[in-house]
Amino acid sequence: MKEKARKIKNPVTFFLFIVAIPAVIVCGVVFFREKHYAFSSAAVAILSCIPLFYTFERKESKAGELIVLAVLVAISALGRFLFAWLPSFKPVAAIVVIVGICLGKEAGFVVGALSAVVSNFFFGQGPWTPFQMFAWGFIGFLAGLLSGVLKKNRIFAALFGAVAGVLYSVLMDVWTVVWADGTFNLNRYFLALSTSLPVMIQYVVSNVIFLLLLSKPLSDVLERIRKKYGLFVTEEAETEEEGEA
Amino acid sequence: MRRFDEYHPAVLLAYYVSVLLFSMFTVHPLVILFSFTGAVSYLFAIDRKRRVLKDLWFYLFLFLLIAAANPLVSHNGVTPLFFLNGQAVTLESLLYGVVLAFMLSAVLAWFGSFNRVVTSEKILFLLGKVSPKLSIVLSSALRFLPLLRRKAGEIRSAGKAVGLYASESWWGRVRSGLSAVSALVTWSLEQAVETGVSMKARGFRLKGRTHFSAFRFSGKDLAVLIFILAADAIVFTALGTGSLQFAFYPRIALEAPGVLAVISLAALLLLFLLPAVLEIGENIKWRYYRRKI
Amino acid sequence: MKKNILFLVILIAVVIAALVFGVRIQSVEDYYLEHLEDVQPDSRTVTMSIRCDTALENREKLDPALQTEKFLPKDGIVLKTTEYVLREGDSVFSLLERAAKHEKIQFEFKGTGKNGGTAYVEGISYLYEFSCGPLSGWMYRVNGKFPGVGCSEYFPEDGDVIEWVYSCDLGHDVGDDWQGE
Repeated sequence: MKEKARKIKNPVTFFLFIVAIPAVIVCGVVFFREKHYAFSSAAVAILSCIPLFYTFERKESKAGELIVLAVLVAISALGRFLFAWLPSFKPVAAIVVIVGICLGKEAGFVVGALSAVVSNFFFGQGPWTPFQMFAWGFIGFLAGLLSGVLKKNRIFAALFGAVAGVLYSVLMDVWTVVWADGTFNLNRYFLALSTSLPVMIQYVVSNVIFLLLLSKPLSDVLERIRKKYGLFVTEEAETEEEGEA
Repeated sequence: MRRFDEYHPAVLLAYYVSVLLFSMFTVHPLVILFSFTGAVSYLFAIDRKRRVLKDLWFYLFLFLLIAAANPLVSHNGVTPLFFLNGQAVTLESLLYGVVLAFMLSAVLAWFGSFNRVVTSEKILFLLGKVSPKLSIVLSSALRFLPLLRRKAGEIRSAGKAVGLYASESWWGRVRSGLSAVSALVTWSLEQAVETGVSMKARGFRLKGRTHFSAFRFSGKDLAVLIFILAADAIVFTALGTGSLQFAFYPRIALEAPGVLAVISLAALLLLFLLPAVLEIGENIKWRYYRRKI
Repeated sequence: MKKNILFLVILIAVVIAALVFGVRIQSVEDYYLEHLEDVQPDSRTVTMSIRCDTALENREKLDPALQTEKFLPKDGIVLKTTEYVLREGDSVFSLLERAAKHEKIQFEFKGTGKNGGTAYVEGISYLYEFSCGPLSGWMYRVNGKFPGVGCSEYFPEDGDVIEWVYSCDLGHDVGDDWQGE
């Protein structure tokens, strides 16, 4: 078992959690008193993306890796575009999960977050953009974190996608309710649920379908590129390969 | 004075962040109303009238939906209008729903203009200053998008020619589609790596690279930025001291607003109307000059 | 365009159906027309009161909109102890509803409260849960003890003393020791 060096990941994360996030919550209470739950949760969601972006920016990346990520972002945005006629039926989450599993958690996060931004250039940015960035970003990150388990079986990945779909829907609903009333209003939540339940089911179904369909072809290609050009070499992957060899 | 969208991206960002913060997280009906007015008038100024009118119909629909649904959700309020299934449908609840609907419409309208004004070029510019690697990824992604569409079309035609999509069964066609996807991904990733190699050859890792910046920060930008920040300061002070508090329940707050409240409301009105005023001002200027020719 | 019109028609039809079948509308006068039986010497009765003293004690935590005499009775009494005739199948909730309608006291609840549905009282006389801090809400005592079941699930007996009390402390400030013995 490899010994994981426990250093402060970077000063930014530290600063963020100790200073920035509490400060933001206080600001929410002081300035936006009626809606401070909504403000604080949205702000914290956005802020929590920063350490990951920072890590990505700081670490050593080959030029090829950057462009590969760019291409993957373009592909997932294209996928969303292709299925635009079937709303809520998007391959984006599936692609993000596969990227997270094959290329690591930071890659997953970046592809997830940027897919939201890029595809929204065509669909229109909206108040949902930060949430989509956060959601798809963290789905990719989590997929990378759990890649050991998810790699074993397509079904696990599909299940992960299903859970992710549910969580995203619930999160959006809860936030919308809190935003509307300033507190959690159960009546309004049921109202929101009645409209969002069909959408959530569509998310889950589309995630599962796309994951089952795409995981083999996509991960094969990604693995091949990885090995052929020596890209996205992560520590866990290295030890795995050493173990095999 | 320039058109709103001609100002420096940082100014635009500061503006939209302020405006969205105040629209989304305050409850005072006047604030929401001003925001709605500002957003919609700017849309009218920059977009075709028909498009905006269509949007307005959508807002109206949203409006009715949310405003009418709110009394179902909240029964607080001193003025019951009638009783539904044993619970009161109150005037206060209805009004809260109306304000909520205005708020949502205002936010959507602001994003409508945001999408027109803050282009990908401006976003990339701002991102490049903060996180160069990310901006490389983002700009490359944007560039690859049309490229991929074209290539996907080519792969599909080639596949058809080879007889891939001829299969009778639906599953067969899905498999053909998947192999096309696989081909597209392989091709594009190989392209990506090659691009990376060429970037490295051209020294993208070297220090001391300068980059071309299409946006310069001028005195006019500073002036508008100061205006935005000053308005923000006034409003935040009012918010922080509770001057802009507004209660809907149990009864609608009808006391006369204090001095700070009035000042901050005026500041907000000016802030929300800024883009529309700039745009219309420029239009007037142009018409004036053209008449002189 | 045709699809949109069709969709709209269906939507309107559904709304009308819901209105006709699922919904009971009363005017304000109708709602408050609540008949109370006279208390006879041989009728089964309970007494009920509604108090919000803890809200007075915790004024600082109270929602600013409620901090007037109009909404917060100086003596903490929303409903003074009154005797009500017990009807067949009365729950604490149905009694509250009857009393509130008769005295024209505002209250809001979640749920249906009738036909076996449960009800949860969110607010009485404009004082709502969380109006006085995140631990505040309405609770009810019967004969000095907290039954710990939903108010629509407790069926009082002849002679019971029902007290509705507002707590700012999840019950601790009104004597509910659910964590204790």
